[in-house]
Amino acid sequence: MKDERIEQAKNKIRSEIAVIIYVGIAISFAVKTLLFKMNLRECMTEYLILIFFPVYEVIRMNMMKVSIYSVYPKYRHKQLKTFIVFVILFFVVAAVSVFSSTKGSTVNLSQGSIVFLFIFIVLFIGVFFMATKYHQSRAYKYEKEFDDDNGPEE
Amino acid sequence: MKNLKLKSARARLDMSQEQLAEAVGVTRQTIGMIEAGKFNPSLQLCIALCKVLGKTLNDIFWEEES
Repeated sequence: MKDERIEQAKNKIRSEIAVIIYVGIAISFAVKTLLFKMNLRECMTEYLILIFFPVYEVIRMNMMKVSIYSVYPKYRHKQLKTFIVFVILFFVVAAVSVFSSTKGSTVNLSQGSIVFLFIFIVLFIGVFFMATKYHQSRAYKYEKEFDDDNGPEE
Repeated sequence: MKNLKLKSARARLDMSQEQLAEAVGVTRQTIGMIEAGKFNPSLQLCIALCKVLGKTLNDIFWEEES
């Protein structure tokens, strides 16, 4: 038997490292696109990691029959609020980006970096929204699956 | 909350933390932390500890309401 305390501590530290790296990649992506005006091709690695992180999370959670979303309305309200905050934050960042890159110019609106940033935002929100919806539907399924009162689900 | 029942059961068998840890396959520090109430063991580990000490889960881990 492995020492569960050490395993738990190791897993916790590694998950924290993963989150730190993910945030670092998000910052790197933001700096590259907003500050250095790089296009999507130049920050493809960051882009792919940011997109596939939640996708991997969904796949693994599905495999382990875990859902972070609550089926109870009280907690779902909180989750919706978090999502709205996320969306607003993205739009604020995008607006600041557009404003800073078009300042003093009328032709800069078609700049590649802004277009790619919007593509990224739309895709990110899309994936995030789909993952959330999927998690919620799975949460209901798992809730019913081991519910003694309703019997086993077919 | 300290787990004095575990400590006394171990002492009754004249076992050191090191010996108990070895018997259940964890480190000595983990046993020390369980006794000190700083770590909540899994049910699997609780059962392993009870088997080694010849006690039931009730004997070692149940706390009476005051």
